[in-house]
Amino acid sequence: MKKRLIVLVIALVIIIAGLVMIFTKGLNLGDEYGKYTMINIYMTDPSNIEDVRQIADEVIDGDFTVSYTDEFNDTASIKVKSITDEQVSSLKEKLKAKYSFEDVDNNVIAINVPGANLYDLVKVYIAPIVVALALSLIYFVIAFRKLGIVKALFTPLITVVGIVALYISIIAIFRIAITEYLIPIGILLFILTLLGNAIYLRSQK
Amino acid sequence: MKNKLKLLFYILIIVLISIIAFVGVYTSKTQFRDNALPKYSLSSEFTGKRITYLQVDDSTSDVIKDKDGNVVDSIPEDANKDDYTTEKVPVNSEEVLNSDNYRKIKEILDNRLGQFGTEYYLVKVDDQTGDIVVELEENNSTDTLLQSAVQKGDFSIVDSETKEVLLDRSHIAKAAVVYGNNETGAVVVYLQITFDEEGKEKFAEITRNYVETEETEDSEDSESEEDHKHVSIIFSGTTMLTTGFESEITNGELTLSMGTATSNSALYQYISNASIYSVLLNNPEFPITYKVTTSEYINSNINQNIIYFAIGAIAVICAIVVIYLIAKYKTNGLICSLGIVLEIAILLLLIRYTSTVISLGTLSALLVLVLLEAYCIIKILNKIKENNSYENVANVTIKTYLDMIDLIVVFLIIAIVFTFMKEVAIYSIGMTLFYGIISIAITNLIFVRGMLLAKYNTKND
Repeated sequence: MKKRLIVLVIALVIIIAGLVMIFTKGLNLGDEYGKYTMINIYMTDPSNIEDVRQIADEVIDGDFTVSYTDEFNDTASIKVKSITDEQVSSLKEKLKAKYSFEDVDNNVIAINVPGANLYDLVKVYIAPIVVALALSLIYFVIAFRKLGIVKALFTPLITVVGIVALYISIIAIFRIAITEYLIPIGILLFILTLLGNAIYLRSQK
Repeated sequence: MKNKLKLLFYILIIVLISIIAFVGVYTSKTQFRDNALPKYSLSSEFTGKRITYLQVDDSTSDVIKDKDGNVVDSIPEDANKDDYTTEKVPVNSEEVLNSDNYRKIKEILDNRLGQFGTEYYLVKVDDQTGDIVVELEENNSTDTLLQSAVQKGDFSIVDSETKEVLLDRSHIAKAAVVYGNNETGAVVVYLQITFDEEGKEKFAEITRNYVETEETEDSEDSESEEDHKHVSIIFSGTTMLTTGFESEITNGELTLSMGTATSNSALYQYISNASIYSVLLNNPEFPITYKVTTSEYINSNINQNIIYFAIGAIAVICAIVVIYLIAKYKTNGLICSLGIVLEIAILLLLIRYTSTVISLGTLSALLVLVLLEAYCIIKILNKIKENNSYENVANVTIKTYLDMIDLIVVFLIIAIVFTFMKEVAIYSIGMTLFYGIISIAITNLIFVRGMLLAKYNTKND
């Protein structure tokens, strides 16, 4: 009982700290969903991406990634968190010299990609999770009615909400960047917690 | 001897199914050796997506006015050009360029893409500049969807001659796709636009004023000019149709034929086109005109190493479970370990043959299934350990399933709810879970039970 209380207190502290972080600093949207600049380079022939990387390295101070945007290897894309107009101009000049672009403004296009809204990332998951949780809770209440409404309804509800809140809080506290991997992990935790509750309630019955 | 052969037979089948699922069946119909199994369908998370960049249209358009200040399409050839003035007017006025409108456009785009049935989309907007980035899954319909989604969506019925707006989209109550059969039995697809009460009256008046009278030889000379009056239906700045009306329409419904289908593919095409129009009309029009700056297919960030890492992690978990089973339950544990391998093999085959899309969520579902199968097997083996009689071994699988009924019900609830969602990230998880429970049932009820019985009988022969 004492151990359980300690775990509960620790979990509550983490969730409160996470909530404070979310309301004060927000979540770290990272490179994938945060603001960034995408510089597309339309080369006339398939080219070695390393040349583009080398030129970008000479101009850009911070971290950046370079990748082909298609299978023909004639369009490269530089993704950088922040870049000044001067750096873009300098990059264009160097790329023009390297690839002999006649109209560099057509061959090198810089796009400021706005950050994503966090709600947009998670909204598709809300309805299925809420419906699945509600139906499961109804089943628990019917199947385990002998255990009492508190145990059959509130135990699964609190554990599922608690685990998901704990997961989000850890992401917020440790400033873990939101990527496409985090949501499937959250779904995994949701499913496992719900299934775990089914096993627990069965054992109590 | 017979039971030993039986056990060997089960093991051989498991090995065979596993080789087919994990390695493939290679044939050389062409000069290359191809896997005869259907390919996995991967979601845009693994393949790549279309990233389209939209910017507020900052161009200007020429507005020609006559000497009375009326706007005209062009200066007539025989007219005095000095009587006309041409003004350069911005496509978007200063007043409409604000954060509220940028956010409104994002909301409209979100709704349009959602109602088009797009499996993956993400709209990002810069509140300050109005720049919009639309991420879409890449497939055959991406171009059409994109082209449709970014349309301004304005609608009006105008006089074809004077361009006077007779009715605009503010009077549209709803738009819907309807079907009917013509006299030859072919399916005709219509776009039905229903107007609100005020629009209904206005539309009735238009149809009364623009009724086409039938031309007869006698009346040809005496035909009044009004008999030739036509309306143009303008959609997103383009004239969809210029027509007259056969008779007055009083029910407030404008029904436009989108095509007569003589084949399923044509029918699908007409329905798709009509659906696009209906979605655009059921959502507000853009308050700002946008232009597409670039539209690029961008390869996925997820490289092979990450996929191998995820598969490796699942393999390691499987290995830990197998080691645990063998260590604790000896031969029975080894036999049941084959069940885990078979379960994954059957699931992979089902995923291939049902074209279930694999997303990142699928990997989570796969892990859930491995753990569920491990839990199920441990329960089976514990029951056998408690009571190693023939009857118990023969019925242990069913008994275990009955014991796990709550777990299975909750599992099925999640699988079914997720399967019926339209977003690929969700339904791929649901379908994997659903096929997973089928593969677990096949594995345990047929193979695990069969092998345990054969082993029991061998021991007692």
